[in-house]
Amino acid sequence: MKRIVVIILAVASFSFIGKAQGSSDLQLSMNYNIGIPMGDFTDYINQASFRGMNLQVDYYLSDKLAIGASIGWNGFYQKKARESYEFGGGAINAVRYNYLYQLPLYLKVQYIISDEGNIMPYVALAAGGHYIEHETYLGYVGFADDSWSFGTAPELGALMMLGQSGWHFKLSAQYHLTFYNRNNIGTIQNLGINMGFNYDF
Amino acid sequence: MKNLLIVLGYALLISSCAKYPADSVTTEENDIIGSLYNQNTNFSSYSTFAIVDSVLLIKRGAGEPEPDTGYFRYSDRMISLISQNMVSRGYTRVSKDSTPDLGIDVSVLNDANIGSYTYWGGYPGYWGWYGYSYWYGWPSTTYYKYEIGTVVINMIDLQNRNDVDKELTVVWNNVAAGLVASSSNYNTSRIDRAINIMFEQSPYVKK
Repeated sequence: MKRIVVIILAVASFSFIGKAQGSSDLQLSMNYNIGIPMGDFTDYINQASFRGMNLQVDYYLSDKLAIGASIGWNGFYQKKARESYEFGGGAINAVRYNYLYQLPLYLKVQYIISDEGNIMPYVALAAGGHYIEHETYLGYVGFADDSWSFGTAPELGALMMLGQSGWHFKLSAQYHLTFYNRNNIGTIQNLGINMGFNYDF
Repeated sequence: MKNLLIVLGYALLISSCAKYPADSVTTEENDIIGSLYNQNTNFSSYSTFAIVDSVLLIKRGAGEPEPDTGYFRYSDRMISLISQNMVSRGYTRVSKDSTPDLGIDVSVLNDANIGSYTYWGGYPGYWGWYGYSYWYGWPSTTYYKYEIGTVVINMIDLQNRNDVDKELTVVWNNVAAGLVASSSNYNTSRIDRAINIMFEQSPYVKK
C-alpha cells in the first residue's frame, strides 16, 4: 500500500514540476501532523497521536483561490487497563489494545482570506477517501480489518512568508471526519494540527 | 532546493513505517478471562453444589485426560477459592454423594494444542456419571482458542440431567487463557485474580 502511494506521489509531483517550470502557481507542502481524537472516537482511543505526516500540492487558479490534493496519515493507539467487556451470554476480561491507522487522500479547495501581509490566513475544504486499518487486541487475541471510507475535512490555517525565498511556514487546524461505521466505531473525528513548510515552484 | 524538498518528503514517507508507538506488554497483561452462561438458566433455582476433589490435568498424547494426582500445586487453592466465591453467592457446598444441584469441575490444559473443547470436555466418568457427555447451550468452540496453561471451570446442572440422551448441561463455562506458560511460571496471584474475575463478571451466578 505504502509503496504504491509513494510511486503515485513521485509520478504526480514530477509531472507537476515539469508543468510548473517558471511559474509560481504551484505550491508543495510537507507537514508534521498531530491528531487529537474528538467526538465518539474518544471512546475507542482518546490519546493524541504524534505520529503523522501529510503532503499537499496546491495549484493556484488566481491569487487567492487554489485547488489541490493531499495525502496524509496518522497512527492512533491506546492501551486500555484490564476490564470486563460484556456481550450477550457472557463477558471477557482482558487488557485491551486499540489501534487505528488513518490515511486520508483528499482533493481540496483553498481560499486565501488575505494576501496583504506576510501572514496569509486561509480556509480550505477537503474531501476524499480514507484508508483505515483497524486493529484491536484483547490480551493476545486480536482482530484486524482494513477498509476505505468517505471522509471530509474543513481546514483553517495561515501561511507565513519566509522572505522572498519561495518558502512559507504553514500552521493549520484540520477537522477530519471519516464516515466509518464499522467495528462499533461511528464517525472517526479528529483534529489535525499541521505544522510544516510550503514551497512555491 | 525543489529536489531537496522532494527527496526529504519521500524519506519521511518511507521512514514512517512504525505506525504506532512501541509498548511493553507483560505476560500477566496477556491473560484473558472469559465467562459464558446458558441464558435459559435461572441460577437462583439451585441451592447446593459439589466441586471436584482435585484439578483435572489434560495432557496431550496421554490418552484420556486424568485427574491430577497431586503434583499440580495450585489444585487445592483453586478449589477452595471457587468454593468460597460460591458460598458468598449463597450456595451451600455439599459432598458429591449428597445429590448436589450443581457440579463444578476445574481443568488445566497442561500441554499445547489439545484441540477443540468437545474432545475432552465430556470426559466420561469425571463427574461420576459414566457415559454422560457435556452439553453446551452455545457454540463453545467458536469463542476461544485454547492455549497451554488454560484454566477451564465448568458448572454443570445436576438437577436436570438428561438421562435419556445421557447429557449433562453446562450452565456456566469459564476459560482463563494464558495463565500458565510453563510449570515454573504458575503464578498464585494471577490464578486467584482470574477466579475472582470470573465471578465478578458473572453477577447472575447467585442464589
